[in-house]
Amino acid sequence: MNGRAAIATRMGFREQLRRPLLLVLLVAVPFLFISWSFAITEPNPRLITLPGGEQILTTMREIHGAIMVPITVGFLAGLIGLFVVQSALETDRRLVLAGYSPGEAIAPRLAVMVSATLIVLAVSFAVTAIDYIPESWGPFVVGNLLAGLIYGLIGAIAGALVGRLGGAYLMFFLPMLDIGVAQNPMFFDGDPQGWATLLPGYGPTRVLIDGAFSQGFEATGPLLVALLWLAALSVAVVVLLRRSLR
Amino acid sequence: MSAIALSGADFLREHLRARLTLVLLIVIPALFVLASASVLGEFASALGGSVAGDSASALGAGWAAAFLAGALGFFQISSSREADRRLALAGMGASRVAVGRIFASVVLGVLISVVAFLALLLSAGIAHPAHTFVAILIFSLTYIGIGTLVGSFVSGALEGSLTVAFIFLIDAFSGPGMSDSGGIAQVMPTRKAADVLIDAGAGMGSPVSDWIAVGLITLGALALAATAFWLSARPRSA
Repeated sequence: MNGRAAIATRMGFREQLRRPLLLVLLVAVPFLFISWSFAITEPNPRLITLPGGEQILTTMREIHGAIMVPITVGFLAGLIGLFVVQSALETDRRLVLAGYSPGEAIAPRLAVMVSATLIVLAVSFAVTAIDYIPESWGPFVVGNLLAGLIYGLIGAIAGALVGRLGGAYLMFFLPMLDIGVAQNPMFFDGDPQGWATLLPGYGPTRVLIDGAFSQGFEATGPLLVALLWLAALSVAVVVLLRRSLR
Repeated sequence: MSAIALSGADFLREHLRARLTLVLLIVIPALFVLASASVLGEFASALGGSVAGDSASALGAGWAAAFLAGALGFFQISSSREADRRLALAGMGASRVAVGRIFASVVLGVLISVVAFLALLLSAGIAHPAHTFVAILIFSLTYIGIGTLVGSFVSGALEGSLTVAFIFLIDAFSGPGMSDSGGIAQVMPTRKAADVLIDAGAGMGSPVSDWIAVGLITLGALALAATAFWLSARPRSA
C-alpha cells in the first residue's frame, strides 16, 4: 500500500473510531444474539447430514449455537459493507478528482470493511466458546470468515447498485433467508439441495458445519464454491466501484 | 388539508422514485413469508414455543412487515431531516411536514402489509383474513414508530440499522409462541399484535382487551413517530 492509500486507510479507521455507538453495537449484537440463541433453544435431538454424506445425531441447541455465528456475521458484515462503502462514495469521488487512482480510494474502504468483519468474528467466536466448542476450529473459523467476507462484498455491491435504502432492505433479509433458512440444518434434512446450493451462503455454511460437528474435513467442494463466490464478488465490487468513481 | 395531502404524496413519491427500491419493498417481504412459512413452526418448537402450522406462518408475515417497516421509519427521518427543516422554514410549518411524513409512512406500511398478507395467503392460506391483515398492519405501524424513534436519536445509517435490527430480533425471539422468555417478553412492542396474529392464523378471534391493547400501542407508536418528525422539522433558534 502506497503513502496516499495508507493515509486514506488511516483516516477511514479514525472515522469509524469516532462512532462509539457503532463499536458498542458491533460487540453487543453478536454477544446478545449468539448467547441468547444458545440459552433459549431446547436440546431436542436432530439428525443432520455432514458434507461427505456422514449422518450424525446432535441437538437443536448445538446446531443453533453453531449457525447463529454465520447468520450474525453475515448480517453485520453485509450492513457494514453496504454503509461503509456507500457513505464513502462521494468522498472517494473527490479523492479521485484530486489525483487518487480508483484503486487507492477503494482499498481503504475494503480494509475498514474487512477489519470490522474481523471484530465481529472475534466477538462471535469468543461468545460461542462460552457455550459450545466446535469439533474442529479450523474449518469453523474459515467458514465463518468466508460468510462474513462474502456478505460484506454483497453489501458493498448492494450499496453501489440500489443505494442506501434499497441496500438496507436487501441486507436485512438476504443473510436471514440464505444462511438462516435455506442453509440452516435446523430445518429440512440438514443437507441443502437444489436452489439452496446456488446461494452465496451454501459454501461457507457447509464448511463451518463440517468444522462444527466433525474432526475430519470433507467439505473441499463447498470450500471451492465459497472461494469462487469470494473471487467473483471481489471482482464485481472493484469493477462497480471503479466505474462509480469515474 | 390539501396541502398536507400534497406533501404526503410528494414524500411518498420521493421514497418510491427509485423503481428498484419499490421492487425490493414488494419482493422482499413476499420472499421472506414464502421461504419461512414451512420452517417457522419447527423453529418455534426448537425454542420451546408452542406456535405451529398456519399460526407460525402468519407470525412470519408480521415479522417481515415489522422488520421492513422499522428500516423504512428509520430512513424516513434520518434521510429527510435537513430537507424537512427547510420545508418548515419555507412556510410549510413543522406540524404539516410531520403530518405529511406520517401519511407517507402509513401508506408505505399498508403497502408492505398488503404484500406480506398476499404472500401469506398464497403460501399457507388464511383462516381469519380480516384479523390477520389488521394484525400484520399493526406490526408494520408499530415498527414505523420504533424506526422513526431510533432515527430521531441515532444519525448514522449503520448504527441506526443495527439498533432497529437489535430491537426487532429481541422482540421476535422473545415473543409469544417463540421462547416467551419471561419478564422482557411482557414489555415487547409487538407482543399483543403477535397474540392477535397467532389467534387469527389458527382461525380464532381475539379478546376485546387484546384489540384495545394493540390499538393503543399502534396509536402510541404513530404519535411517537409524529412527534419525532415534528421535532426533526422544527426550525432551530439561532
